[in-house]
Amino acid sequence: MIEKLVGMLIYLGIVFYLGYKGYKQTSSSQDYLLAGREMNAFVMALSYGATFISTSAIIGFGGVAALFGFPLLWLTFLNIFVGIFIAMVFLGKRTRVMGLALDAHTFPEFLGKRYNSSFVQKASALIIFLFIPLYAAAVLIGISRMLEVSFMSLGISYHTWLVLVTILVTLYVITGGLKAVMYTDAFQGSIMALMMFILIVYTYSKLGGIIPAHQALTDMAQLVPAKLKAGGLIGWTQGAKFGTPIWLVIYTTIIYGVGIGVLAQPQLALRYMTVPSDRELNRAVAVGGVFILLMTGVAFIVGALSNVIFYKSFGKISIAMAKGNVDKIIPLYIEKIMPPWYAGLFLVGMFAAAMSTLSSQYHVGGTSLGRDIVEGLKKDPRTSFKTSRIGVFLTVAAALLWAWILPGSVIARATAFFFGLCAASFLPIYLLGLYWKKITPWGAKVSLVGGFFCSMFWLLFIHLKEAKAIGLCKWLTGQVTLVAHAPKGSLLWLLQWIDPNVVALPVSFLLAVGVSLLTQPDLQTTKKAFGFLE
Amino acid sequence: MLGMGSIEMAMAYVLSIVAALGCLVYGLIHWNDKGITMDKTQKGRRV
Repeated sequence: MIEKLVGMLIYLGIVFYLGYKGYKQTSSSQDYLLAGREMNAFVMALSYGATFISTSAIIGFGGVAALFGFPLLWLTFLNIFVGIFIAMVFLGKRTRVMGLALDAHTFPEFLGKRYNSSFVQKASALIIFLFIPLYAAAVLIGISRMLEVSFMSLGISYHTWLVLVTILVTLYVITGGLKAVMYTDAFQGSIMALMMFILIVYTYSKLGGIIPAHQALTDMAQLVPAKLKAGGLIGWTQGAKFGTPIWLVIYTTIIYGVGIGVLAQPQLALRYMTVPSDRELNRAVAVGGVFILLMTGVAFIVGALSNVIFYKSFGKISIAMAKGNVDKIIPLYIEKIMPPWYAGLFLVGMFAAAMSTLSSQYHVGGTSLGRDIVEGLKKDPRTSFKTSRIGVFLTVAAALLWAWILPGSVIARATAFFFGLCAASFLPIYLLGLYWKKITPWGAKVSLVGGFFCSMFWLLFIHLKEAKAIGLCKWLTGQVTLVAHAPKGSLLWLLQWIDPNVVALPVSFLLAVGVSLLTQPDLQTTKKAFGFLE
Repeated sequence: MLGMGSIEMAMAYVLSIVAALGCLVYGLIHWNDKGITMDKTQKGRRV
C-alpha cells in the first residue's frame, strides 16, 4: 500500500511538472492545438504510442487474448505494420505537408480545408465531439475501477475516483494544451514500456523459455471450454476454425476493425502535424514499432500464456480464475503471479496508459467543438484558444457523465465502436484526399455521411453484440437483429458476427469514388492542397 | 514451429517481431531524412 501511494505521488509530481512545462511554453493557438509544430521525434513517437495504447489494449484486449489465444497477435502485427509503418510513412508525411499547405490545425479542419467544405469540417467535428466522450468514458471507468480496488483500504468510492482522475487530467489539458499532453504522454509511454518489458521477461522465464512456454499452451488444447469449442476455437495456439462465429469475431472485429481503424483516429492523425519535418516521423517509426510490440505484443502473449501459469498454479484456466470476467484476467495475473513490487509499478503504468489516452481524447474532443464547430472555417486565432478550452471542458463533462451512467464492462466494445465509426466515416476521404486529386467535395460529403450511417445501421440492426445491448431493433421489429431469424449456420445468420466495418468501409470508399467520378472537382483547392507535394 | 499448434500462429508471432524490426531499420536508414520542410516564407522545399 505504502509503495503504491509513494509510487503514485512521485509519478503525479513528474506529470504535473511536465504539464507545467507545457503550460509555460504555450502562448498561441498553434501551440495549444499543434504543440507549435515543433515536437521532437522521441516525444512524438511515445506520445503517439501512449495515446494509441490505453488500458483497453492491455487489460481489455489482453484478457481477450487469454480467452482466444495467439490469433490476437495478428492485431499486434497490424498495429505495427498498419498503425505505425503505413500510418506514419504513407499517411503521416503527406498529412504534415498538406496540413501546412492548407494551414490546418485540427483533423476536421484538415478535412474541411482539403475539400473547401464547411460541412465536411463541422460534420467530422460533430462525430468526434459526440462519440469521443463515450470512448473516453470507457477509459475513465477502467482506471477508476482499478484505483478503487488498489486503494480499497483508503475507502475512496468508485465515483470519487472518477471525479479525481477527471480533475487531474483536465487540469493539464485545459491549461497546457497539446504540448502538456505530449510531454506527459512521452513520460507515461516510458513507464509503460518498462512495465511491459519486465512482464514478458518474467512470464517467459517462469515457463522455462519461449518455446517451452508456447508448447505448454499447445498441449492444453483439450482444456478449451466447451462453449468456445462450439463457437469454433480449436486451441489457444491452434486458432479458430474458418468461418465460425469465433473466427468472425477475432478476424473481423478485433483484428480488421481495430487494426485498420487506427488509420483514421483523429487524435493520432493530429500528431503528424505537430512535427517540423519528415525526420521526426522517420525516427518515430523506429521508436513506435518497438513500443507497440512491447505493448500489445506483450499483453497478448502474456494474456494467452496466463492459461498455462494459472493452470499450473491453481488448476484452473484464466477465464475460470476470473469467474467469467475477461477484464479481470490481467489484473488477477498481476496480483496472483507477479511479485508484489510489480503490482505498484503496474498500477502506475496503467494510470499512465489511461491518462495519456484520456488527455488526448479530451484535447481532440474539445478542439473539435471549439475550433471546428463553433468557429468553422473562418476563424479568428485569438478566440480559437478560448473556445478550445471551453470545448475541452465540455468534453470532460460529457465523458464524466457517460462514465457515471455506463456499466463497467464496456471498455473493449466502446474502443472498437469508436475505431470502427472513425474508419467508416473518415478513412476513405482522408486517404483519397491525400493521394487522389480527382476526389470531389461532393464525393467527400456523400462518403462521410454514407459511411457513418452505414456503420450505425449495422451496429443497431445487424451486429448482435451492440444491437442486443441497445435494443432499438428489438423495439422496432420484435427481433434482436434483422437476420436473427435466418437458419443457424447460414451466411445470413453469420452476418451477426461480422464487424460493421467489413461492410461500411467498402461502402464509404465506393461512395467517395463513385460520386467523385460523377461530379466536378474543386481544382483550386486541390492545387493548394497538393502545392508542396509536387 | 516455435512450440505453436499451427503455422498461422507462428507466422503471426514472427511477423509481429519482423514488423517491429522493420520499423526500426526503416527509422535508422531514414534517420536524418527531412523530406519537404517549410522555410520562413512558407514555401515548400526538399532537403
